[in-house]
Amino acid sequence: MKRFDVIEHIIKMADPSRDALVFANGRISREACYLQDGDNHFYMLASMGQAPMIGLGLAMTHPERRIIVIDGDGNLLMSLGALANVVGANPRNFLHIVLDNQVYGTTGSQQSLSRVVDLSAVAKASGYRNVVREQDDLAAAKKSLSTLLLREGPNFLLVQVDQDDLQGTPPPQVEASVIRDRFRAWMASDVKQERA
Amino acid sequence: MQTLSAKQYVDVLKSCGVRFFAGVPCSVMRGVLYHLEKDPSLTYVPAVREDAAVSMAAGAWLGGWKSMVLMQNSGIGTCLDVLISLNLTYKIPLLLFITWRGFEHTDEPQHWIWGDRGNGILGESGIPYSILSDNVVEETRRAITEMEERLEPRALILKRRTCIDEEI
Repeated sequence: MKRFDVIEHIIKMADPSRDALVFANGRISREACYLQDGDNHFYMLASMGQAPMIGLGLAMTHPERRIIVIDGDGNLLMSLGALANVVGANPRNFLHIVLDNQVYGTTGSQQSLSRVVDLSAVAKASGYRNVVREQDDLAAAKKSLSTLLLREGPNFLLVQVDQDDLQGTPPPQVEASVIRDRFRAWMASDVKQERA
Repeated sequence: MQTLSAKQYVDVLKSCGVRFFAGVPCSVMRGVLYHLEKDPSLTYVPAVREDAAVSMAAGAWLGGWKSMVLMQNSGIGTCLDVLISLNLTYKIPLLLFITWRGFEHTDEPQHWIWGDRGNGILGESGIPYSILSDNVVEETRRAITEMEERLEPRALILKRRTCIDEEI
Protein backbone atom coordinates (compact mmCIF):
# COMPACT_ATOMS: atom_id res chain seq x y z
CA MET A 1 0.00 0.00 0.00
CA LYS A 2 1.34 3.42 -0.96
CA ARG A 3 1.38 6.07 1.73
CA PHE A 4 0.36 8.80 -0.70
CA ASP A 5 -2.70 6.82 -1.81
CA VAL A 6 -3.81 6.61 1.80
CA ILE A 7 -3.14 10.33 2.39
CA GLU A 8 -5.07 11.21 -0.76
CA HIS A 9 -8.02 9.16 0.44
CA ILE A 10 -7.99 10.68 3.93
CA ILE A 11 -8.14 14.17 2.42
CA LYS A 12 -10.97 13.05 0.12
CA MET A 13 -12.94 11.53 3.00
CA ALA A 14 -12.58 14.58 5.25
CA ASP A 15 -15.39 17.12 5.28
CA PRO A 16 -13.67 20.45 4.52
CA SER A 17 -16.27 22.31 6.54
CA ARG A 18 -16.02 20.18 9.66
CA ASP A 19 -12.85 18.09 9.80
CA ALA A 20 -9.45 19.44 10.80
CA LEU A 21 -6.42 17.54 9.53
CA VAL A 22 -3.11 17.72 11.41
CA PHE A 23 -0.23 16.29 9.38
CA ALA A 24 3.01 15.15 11.02
CA ASN A 25 6.28 16.59 9.77
CA GLY A 26 8.35 15.13 6.98
CA ARG A 27 7.00 13.22 4.02
CA ILE A 28 3.48 13.14 5.41
CA SER A 29 3.10 16.93 5.36
CA ARG A 30 4.93 17.20 2.04
CA GLU A 31 2.75 14.70 0.25
CA ALA A 32 -0.49 16.04 1.73
CA CYS A 33 0.27 19.61 0.70
CA TYR A 34 1.35 18.49 -2.75
CA LEU A 35 -1.69 16.25 -3.33
CA GLN A 36 -4.26 18.77 -2.12
CA ASP A 37 -3.84 21.85 0.04
CA GLY A 38 -6.65 23.21 2.21
CA ASP A 39 -7.47 25.75 4.90
CA ASN A 40 -8.41 22.88 7.22
CA HIS A 41 -4.87 21.46 6.96
CA PHE A 42 -2.27 22.09 9.64
CA TYR A 43 1.18 21.07 8.42
CA MET A 44 3.56 20.44 11.27
CA LEU A 45 6.91 21.56 9.87
CA ALA A 46 9.06 20.45 12.81
CA SER A 47 8.31 19.69 16.51
CA MET A 48 8.47 15.99 15.72
CA GLY A 49 6.21 13.81 17.84
CA GLN A 50 3.72 16.52 18.70
CA ALA A 51 0.96 16.12 16.08
CA PRO A 52 -1.44 14.23 18.40
CA MET A 53 -0.96 16.82 21.14
CA ILE A 54 -1.71 19.70 18.78
CA GLY A 55 -4.74 17.71 17.68
CA LEU A 56 -5.82 17.16 21.26
CA GLY A 57 -5.79 20.91 21.96
CA LEU A 58 -8.01 21.36 18.90
CA ALA A 59 -10.34 18.51 19.87
CA MET A 60 -10.84 19.82 23.40
CA THR A 61 -11.61 23.36 22.33
CA HIS A 62 -13.84 22.34 19.39
CA PRO A 63 -16.00 19.34 20.22
CA GLU A 64 -18.25 20.16 17.24
CA ARG A 65 -15.43 19.31 14.82
CA ARG A 66 -13.68 16.06 14.04
CA ILE A 67 -9.92 16.17 14.48
CA ILE A 68 -7.92 13.77 12.34
CA VAL A 69 -4.21 13.44 13.12
CA ILE A 70 -2.07 11.88 10.40
CA ASP A 71 1.00 10.66 12.24
CA GLY A 72 4.03 8.55 11.39
CA ASP A 73 5.69 5.68 13.22
CA GLY A 74 8.87 7.62 13.98
CA ASN A 75 6.78 10.52 15.22
CA LEU A 76 4.66 8.42 17.54
CA LEU A 77 7.62 6.44 18.87
CA MET A 78 9.12 9.74 19.94
CA SER A 79 6.17 10.59 22.18
CA LEU A 80 4.34 7.45 23.24
CA GLY A 81 3.19 9.33 26.33
CA ALA A 82 0.91 11.32 24.03
CA LEU A 83 -1.33 8.25 23.86
CA ALA A 84 -1.93 8.52 27.61
CA ASN A 85 -2.79 12.20 27.30
CA VAL A 86 -5.30 11.50 24.53
CA VAL A 87 -6.98 8.72 26.48
CA GLY A 88 -6.95 10.83 29.64
CA ALA A 89 -8.81 13.64 27.89
CA ASN A 90 -11.14 11.15 26.16
CA PRO A 91 -11.99 13.27 23.10
CA ARG A 92 -14.98 11.78 21.29
CA ASN A 93 -14.05 13.66 18.12
CA PHE A 94 -10.48 12.40 17.70
CA LEU A 95 -9.08 10.00 15.11
CA HIS A 96 -5.39 9.19 15.31
CA ILE A 97 -4.04 7.65 12.10
CA VAL A 98 -0.50 6.28 11.96
CA LEU A 99 1.02 5.66 8.54
CA ASP A 100 3.62 3.09 9.51
CA ASN A 101 6.42 2.43 7.01
CA GLN A 102 8.86 1.22 9.68
CA VAL A 103 11.50 3.72 8.62
CA TYR A 104 12.51 7.36 8.98
CA GLY A 105 11.70 8.06 5.34
CA THR A 106 12.59 11.72 5.13
CA THR A 107 16.15 11.21 6.36
CA GLY A 108 17.11 8.24 4.19
CA SER A 109 14.95 5.35 5.37
CA GLN A 110 16.82 4.38 8.53
CA GLN A 111 14.84 1.71 10.36
CA SER A 112 12.42 2.62 13.14
CA LEU A 113 11.40 0.47 16.09
CA SER A 114 7.87 -0.09 14.81
CA ARG A 115 9.41 -3.25 13.32
CA VAL A 116 9.39 -4.70 16.81
CA VAL A 117 6.76 -2.62 18.60
CA ASP A 118 3.18 -2.89 17.37
CA LEU A 119 1.94 0.68 17.80
CA SER A 120 -1.69 -0.36 17.41
CA ALA A 121 -1.27 -2.74 20.37
CA VAL A 122 0.20 0.13 22.38
CA ALA A 123 -2.79 2.32 21.46
CA LYS A 124 -5.19 -0.46 22.39
CA ALA A 125 -3.50 -1.02 25.75
CA SER A 126 -3.51 2.74 26.37
CA GLY A 127 -7.28 2.73 26.10
CA TYR A 128 -8.25 4.16 22.70
CA ARG A 129 -11.90 3.28 22.14
CA ASN A 130 -11.62 1.63 18.72
CA VAL A 131 -8.30 0.43 17.34
CA VAL A 132 -7.81 -1.04 13.87
CA ARG A 133 -4.65 -2.22 12.12
CA GLU A 134 -4.63 -2.47 8.32
CA GLN A 135 -1.98 -3.84 6.03
CA ASP A 136 -1.73 -4.95 2.38
CA ASP A 137 -5.18 -3.89 1.19
CA LEU A 138 -6.07 -0.28 0.36
CA ALA A 139 -9.77 -1.07 -0.03
CA ALA A 140 -9.91 -2.48 3.51
CA ALA A 141 -8.01 0.54 4.87
CA LYS A 142 -10.50 2.88 3.19
CA LYS A 143 -13.39 0.98 4.72
CA SER A 144 -11.85 1.11 8.19
CA LEU A 145 -11.29 4.84 7.83
CA SER A 146 -14.95 5.39 6.95
CA THR A 147 -16.09 3.25 9.86
CA LEU A 148 -13.80 4.88 12.43
CA LEU A 149 -14.83 8.38 11.31
CA LEU A 150 -18.39 7.55 12.30
CA ARG A 151 -17.64 5.93 15.65
CA GLU A 152 -17.16 7.72 18.93
CA GLY A 153 -13.48 8.24 19.71
CA PRO A 154 -10.76 8.47 20.62
CA ASN A 155 -10.03 6.09 17.74
CA PHE A 156 -6.79 4.78 16.28
CA LEU A 157 -6.03 3.47 12.81
CA LEU A 158 -2.63 2.03 11.95
CA VAL A 159 -2.01 1.55 8.27
CA GLN A 160 1.11 -0.33 7.32
CA VAL A 161 2.42 1.33 4.16
CA ASP A 162 5.32 0.83 1.72
CA GLN A 163 8.46 2.90 1.95
CA ASP A 164 7.81 4.47 -1.47
CA ASP A 165 7.56 8.24 -1.58
CA LEU A 166 5.63 10.33 -4.02
CA GLN A 167 8.48 11.64 -6.14
CA GLY A 168 9.18 15.35 -6.48
CA THR A 169 7.27 16.58 -3.44
CA PRO A 170 8.90 19.66 -1.93
CA PRO A 171 8.34 20.79 1.67
CA PRO A 172 4.93 22.50 1.99
CA GLN A 173 5.04 25.60 -0.16
CA VAL A 174 3.11 27.60 2.42
CA GLU A 175 4.78 29.77 5.05
CA ALA A 176 4.31 28.87 8.70
CA SER A 177 2.49 32.13 9.45
CA VAL A 178 0.09 31.47 6.56
CA ILE A 179 -0.57 27.91 7.74
CA ARG A 180 -1.28 29.36 11.19
CA ASP A 181 -3.56 32.20 10.13
CA ARG A 182 -5.71 30.40 7.63
CA PHE A 183 -6.06 27.33 9.84
CA ARG A 184 -7.00 29.39 12.90
CA ALA A 185 -9.55 31.35 10.87
CA TRP A 186 -10.97 28.09 9.53
CA MET A 187 -11.22 26.66 13.08
CA ALA A 188 -13.29 29.72 14.05
CA SER A 189 -15.66 29.31 11.08
CA ASP A 190 -19.06 27.65 11.30
CA VAL A 191 -19.44 23.94 10.69
CA LYS A 192 -21.90 23.13 7.91
CA GLN A 193 -23.53 19.78 8.54
CA GLU A 194 -23.77 18.67 4.93
CA ARG A 195 -22.17 15.27 5.19
CA ALA A 196 -22.11 12.59 7.84
CA MET B 1 5.85 41.89 49.45
CA GLN B 2 2.34 41.58 48.11
CA THR B 3 1.21 37.96 48.42
CA LEU B 4 -1.83 36.74 46.52
CA SER B 5 -3.70 33.65 47.50
CA ALA B 6 -3.57 30.91 44.87
CA LYS B 7 -7.27 31.49 44.21
CA GLN B 8 -6.76 35.21 43.68
CA TYR B 9 -4.06 34.47 41.15
CA VAL B 10 -6.26 32.04 39.24
CA ASP B 11 -8.96 34.74 39.21
CA VAL B 12 -6.46 37.16 37.64
CA LEU B 13 -5.78 34.61 34.88
CA LYS B 14 -9.50 34.11 34.36
CA SER B 15 -10.14 37.84 34.16
CA CYS B 16 -7.52 37.98 31.37
CA GLY B 17 -9.43 35.33 29.40
CA VAL B 18 -7.01 32.42 29.85
CA ARG B 19 -9.09 29.25 29.63
CA PHE B 20 -6.85 26.36 28.63
CA PHE B 21 -4.20 25.13 31.04
CA ALA B 22 -1.82 22.19 30.83
CA GLY B 23 1.22 21.35 32.84
CA VAL B 24 3.44 19.14 34.90
CA PRO B 25 3.16 19.83 38.63
CA CYS B 26 5.66 21.50 40.90
CA SER B 27 5.08 21.72 44.66
CA VAL B 28 5.70 25.48 44.56
CA MET B 29 2.51 25.94 42.49
CA ARG B 30 0.35 23.31 44.16
CA GLY B 31 -2.16 25.91 45.33
CA VAL B 32 -2.60 27.31 41.83
CA LEU B 33 -2.95 23.81 40.36
CA TYR B 34 -5.58 22.94 42.95
CA HIS B 35 -7.77 25.84 41.85
CA LEU B 36 -7.20 25.19 38.14
CA GLU B 37 -8.29 21.58 38.60
CA LYS B 38 -11.27 22.54 40.71
CA ASP B 39 -12.72 25.37 38.62
CA PRO B 40 -15.39 24.00 36.23
CA SER B 41 -15.09 27.02 33.94
CA LEU B 42 -11.43 26.21 33.18
CA THR B 43 -9.78 23.31 31.41
CA TYR B 44 -6.66 21.89 33.05
CA VAL B 45 -4.90 18.93 31.46
CA PRO B 46 -2.25 17.05 33.45
CA ALA B 47 0.38 16.56 30.76
CA VAL B 48 2.71 13.58 30.60
CA ARG B 49 5.60 15.88 29.67
CA GLU B 50 6.12 19.60 29.30
CA ASP B 51 6.44 19.34 25.51
CA ALA B 52 3.04 17.64 25.35
CA ALA B 53 1.62 20.51 27.42
CA VAL B 54 3.09 23.15 25.11
CA SER B 55 1.76 21.40 22.01
CA MET B 56 -1.74 20.99 23.45
CA ALA B 57 -1.72 24.65 24.38
CA ALA B 58 -0.69 25.53 20.82
CA GLY B 59 -3.62 23.45 19.54
CA ALA B 60 -5.96 25.20 21.96
CA TRP B 61 -4.70 28.61 20.77
CA LEU B 62 -5.27 27.59 17.16
CA GLY B 63 -8.76 26.72 18.38
CA GLY B 64 -9.16 30.29 19.64
CA TRP B 65 -8.44 29.84 23.36
CA LYS B 66 -5.79 31.70 25.33
CA SER B 67 -3.57 29.12 26.95
CA MET B 68 -1.02 28.68 29.70
CA VAL B 69 1.49 25.95 30.51
CA LEU B 70 2.77 25.37 34.03
CA MET B 71 6.03 23.65 34.92
CA GLN B 72 9.16 23.85 37.03
CA ASN B 73 12.30 25.14 35.35
CA SER B 74 13.70 21.69 34.57
CA GLY B 75 10.75 21.37 32.18
CA ILE B 76 12.31 24.06 29.99
CA GLY B 77 14.72 21.38 28.84
CA THR B 78 11.91 18.99 28.00
CA CYS B 79 9.90 21.43 25.89
CA LEU B 80 12.52 23.70 24.37
CA ASP B 81 12.31 22.12 20.93
CA VAL B 82 8.55 22.61 20.78
CA LEU B 83 8.85 26.21 21.97
CA ILE B 84 11.36 26.83 19.18
CA SER B 85 10.01 24.61 16.39
CA LEU B 86 6.34 25.30 16.97
CA ASN B 87 5.71 28.49 18.97
CA LEU B 88 8.61 30.58 17.68
CA THR B 89 8.49 29.15 14.15
CA TYR B 90 4.76 29.75 13.60
CA LYS B 91 4.58 32.65 16.07
CA ILE B 92 2.03 31.06 18.37
CA PRO B 93 1.53 32.86 21.70
CA LEU B 94 1.68 30.99 24.98
CA LEU B 95 1.91 32.00 28.60
CA LEU B 96 4.49 29.92 30.47
CA PHE B 97 4.33 29.80 34.25
CA ILE B 98 7.65 28.44 35.50
CA THR B 99 8.80 27.90 39.06
CA TRP B 100 12.38 28.90 39.76
CA ARG B 101 13.77 25.87 41.55
CA GLY B 102 17.40 26.13 42.62
CA PHE B 103 17.25 29.89 43.13
CA GLU B 104 20.32 30.86 45.16
CA HIS B 105 20.79 27.13 45.84
CA THR B 106 18.23 27.23 48.62
CA ASP B 107 16.67 23.89 47.72
CA GLU B 108 18.08 20.48 46.82
CA PRO B 109 21.31 20.33 44.80
CA GLN B 110 19.68 18.66 41.80
CA HIS B 111 17.89 21.97 41.12
CA TRP B 112 20.94 24.20 41.29
CA ILE B 113 22.14 24.04 37.69
CA TRP B 114 18.67 24.74 36.33
CA GLY B 115 18.37 27.43 38.96
CA ASP B 116 21.51 29.11 37.68
CA ARG B 117 20.90 28.70 33.95
CA GLY B 118 17.19 28.18 33.28
CA ASN B 119 16.25 31.82 32.78
CA GLY B 120 19.30 32.37 30.60
CA ILE B 121 18.32 29.46 28.36
CA LEU B 122 14.87 31.01 27.89
CA GLY B 123 16.36 34.40 27.08
CA GLU B 124 18.96 32.96 24.73
CA SER B 125 16.17 31.08 22.94
CA GLY B 126 14.27 34.30 22.32
CA ILE B 127 11.55 33.77 24.89
CA PRO B 128 11.00 36.88 27.02
CA TYR B 129 10.45 36.32 30.73
CA SER B 130 9.58 38.35 33.81
CA ILE B 131 10.29 37.47 37.41
CA LEU B 132 7.19 37.83 39.51
CA SER B 133 7.33 39.84 42.75
CA ASP B 134 5.33 42.88 43.90
CA ASN B 135 4.33 43.37 40.30
CA VAL B 136 2.60 39.98 40.06
CA VAL B 137 -0.83 41.15 38.89
CA GLU B 138 0.35 43.86 36.50
CA GLU B 139 3.14 41.70 35.13
CA THR B 140 0.78 38.80 34.45
CA ARG B 141 -1.74 41.06 32.70
CA ARG B 142 1.00 42.71 30.67
CA ALA B 143 2.49 39.37 29.63
CA ILE B 144 -0.89 38.12 28.41
CA THR B 145 -1.55 41.30 26.43
CA GLU B 146 1.92 41.37 24.92
CA MET B 147 2.05 37.69 23.97
CA GLU B 148 -1.13 38.15 21.94
CA GLU B 149 0.09 41.39 20.35
CA ARG B 150 3.52 40.03 19.50
CA LEU B 151 2.43 36.45 18.81
CA GLU B 152 5.16 34.96 20.96
CA PRO B 153 5.59 32.68 23.95
CA ARG B 154 6.14 34.58 27.17
CA ALA B 155 7.32 33.28 30.53
CA LEU B 156 6.50 34.28 34.10
CA ILE B 157 8.99 33.06 36.69
CA LEU B 158 7.86 32.35 40.23
CA LYS B 159 10.30 31.99 43.13
CA ARG B 160 9.38 29.98 46.21
CA ARG B 161 7.50 31.67 49.00
CA THR B 162 7.20 35.04 47.29
CA CYS B 163 4.15 36.57 45.69
CA ILE B 164 1.70 33.66 45.29
CA ASP B 165 0.75 31.49 48.22
CA GLU B 166 1.92 27.93 47.72
CA GLU B 167 -0.92 26.48 49.75
CA ILE B 168 -4.50 25.89 48.68
